[in-house]
Amino acid sequence: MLTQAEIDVVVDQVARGKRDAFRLIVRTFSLPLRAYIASQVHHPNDVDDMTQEVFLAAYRHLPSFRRGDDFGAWLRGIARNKLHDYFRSTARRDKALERFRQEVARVVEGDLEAAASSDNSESIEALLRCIGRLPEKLRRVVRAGLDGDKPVDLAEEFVTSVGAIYNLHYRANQLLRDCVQKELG
Amino acid sequence: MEPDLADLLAAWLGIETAPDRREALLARLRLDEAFRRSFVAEIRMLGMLKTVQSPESRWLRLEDELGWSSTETPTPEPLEERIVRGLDHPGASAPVGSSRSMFRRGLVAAAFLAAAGLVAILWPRRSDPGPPASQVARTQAYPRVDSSVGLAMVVKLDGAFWESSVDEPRPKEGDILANGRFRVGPGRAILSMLTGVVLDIEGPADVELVSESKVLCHQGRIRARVPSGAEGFIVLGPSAAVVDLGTEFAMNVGLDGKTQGRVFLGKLEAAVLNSVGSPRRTYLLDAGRAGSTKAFEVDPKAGKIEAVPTSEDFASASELVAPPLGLDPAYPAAVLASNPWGYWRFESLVDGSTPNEVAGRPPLKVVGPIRLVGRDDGPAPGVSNRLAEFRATTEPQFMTLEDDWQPNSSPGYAIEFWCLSRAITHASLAGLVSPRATDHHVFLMELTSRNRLTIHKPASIRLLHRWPSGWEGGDNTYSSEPYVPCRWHHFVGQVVGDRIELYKDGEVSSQASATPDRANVPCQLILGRLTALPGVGLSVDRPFVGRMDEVALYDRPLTIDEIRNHYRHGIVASPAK
Repeated sequence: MLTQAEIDVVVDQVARGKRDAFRLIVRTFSLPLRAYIASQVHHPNDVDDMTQEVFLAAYRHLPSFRRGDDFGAWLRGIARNKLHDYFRSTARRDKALERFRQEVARVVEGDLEAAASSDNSESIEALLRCIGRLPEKLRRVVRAGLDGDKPVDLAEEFVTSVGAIYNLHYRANQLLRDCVQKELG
Repeated sequence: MEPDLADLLAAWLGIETAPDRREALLARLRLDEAFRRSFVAEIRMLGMLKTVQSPESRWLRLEDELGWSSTETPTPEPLEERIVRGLDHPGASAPVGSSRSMFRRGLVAAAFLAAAGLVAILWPRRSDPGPPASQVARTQAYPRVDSSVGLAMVVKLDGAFWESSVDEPRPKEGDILANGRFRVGPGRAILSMLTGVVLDIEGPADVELVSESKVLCHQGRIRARVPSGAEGFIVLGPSAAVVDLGTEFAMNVGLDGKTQGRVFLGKLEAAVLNSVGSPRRTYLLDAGRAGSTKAFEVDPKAGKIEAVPTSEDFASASELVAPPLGLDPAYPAAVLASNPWGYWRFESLVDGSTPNEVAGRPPLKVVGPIRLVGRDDGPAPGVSNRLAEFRATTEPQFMTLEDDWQPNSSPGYAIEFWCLSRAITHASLAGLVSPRATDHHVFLMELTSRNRLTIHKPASIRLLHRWPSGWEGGDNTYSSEPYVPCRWHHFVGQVVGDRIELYKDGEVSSQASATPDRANVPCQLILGRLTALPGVGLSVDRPFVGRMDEVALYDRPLTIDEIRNHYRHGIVASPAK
């Protein structure tokens, strides 16, 4: 994780034409930024595209970044604007569902920003370790969710109900949150 | 999870939800702060999970805009290779104008992700995580260890990889391990001792297999489940020992040698060891007795063992998920083309019986709590794919024919089926007894484990032929390769003249000569249990726990081409195979 002073150094270097220095920004913030966007955008390609868009915008507007500010928060601010555009464009295509998603995103915007402010690459490393500690069944549920497997298929595999699968997922997330918190001390 | 939260998440993820329900959920989201926070916690975790399992992106537009693509030669070398190479030779790939320490920290993080999750195996569908990619080419396969001398089997590696020097061989899932020391990286490794004791190891860990009933945990978190018959299993730490008295327990050993332990089921005795490794002070822990100690801590420096409050901070118990059996829709036709005498697919259960696919032939009768599980829609339209599940229960359960079947001594006969065992255990799969309702076997196929009461080669498939029928003696042959728990295997056992042959997964696994002098006798077919007699014990039940499917009985031996053809039709979509 870059310190505030290190970020200021990078910003200075980029301003002097050392574009390569921006790599450090990308490297430091790509995981938490991608996680922030992925919490609201489902399709992995869209998440990737938007993350790139945010970094591009950040690079172009780096001179407007105020020294001493939280760089992660600044990036998420750019991401929020991109997300608004994204929801607006998808809502035009698929009215009811996307309007609903757009409104949900708007309502939780503040809470999500507060929650994401503590996310960094270390949190995601910790999450990785914690996933490895989940019981087998819960790991399978988590994986199935990411693979887009239908809960009904998973319920069949586990010989249980769809509701129970949702509960397993919920339980897995609780365990992961507790574990990450413990890992990060 | 409360219903509103479940519904909101479902709607957020695109599940069809009625408009008025959506409005109600939105209204609550606006007004209820706690509800909003719960929802945010869930979607935030979802975002993080998606991120850890995504490959690293190539952001070409960003590279173009920043001029990176012109200064850096494009390379097909995978990210993880570059990262690990960077770690080996930091100077070689340090970026221009950057702080090396910062970059290196980034590399460490990225390497961790690459090694433990993004590139190696984080998830169940990838069966073998292996070491970081750069080391793969430089490491050797673990040497084949025969189960008669091996101690344990690698059942699953989940996000874990073996930490060893590059020249050291690394075991993979299904490998039998000899005695020795193994270091496990971040993630989880599930080992099964060939006695059936299951060890969940959470890395980083350093574990040494000492003997069939003893493991030394130098460091890490380990949990042991000891089945009946394997009591007395010992987990040692640098300064502590735990002996199982029929139980499930866990032990954490820190780098400083401090050890915590907990009993989850049954009883165990824990001890702090003296400098020569003998127990100095002991403690009895009993999970079933109220008020009894459930957890302990050993401080090696102080030479103390003491009761501590229970906590959940131990390796969790793994629950292996049985993969589906991915049959080719043409599988039933392939079997029927071999003209079986009987063929049971377990697609339905009517009045306690499952029908025979061969017209005019009898159904299989189900005794006990066996149930049919699986998908009705099957691998293709019109082809269902259900199977029989033998549950872990104390009730007798098996399948049999109401009337005797008479095997053909010349030219011979065959039994073919798919099965998945939940564990390494001694369990009967298919047998022919004569006379009916006795323990006098003519033919028996079973799974073996190591135990003190039998001399069978462990973790193998045993094929037995006896003539005349009886409860002792006979001709045995054992599979050359072990079976792997929670993995589908295709087995054929057959008598061919004066020979018995065992096929595993489409290939000859072993064969032996058998007593040539025999006659045709009527036999009772029994699946999933040693006998149909009441009672328990090694000579009575040997219950199978797992799944079985596509059982076929032939009054002639199959040819190797037929067996291979059937096997090929069964491995179309089975992830474990």
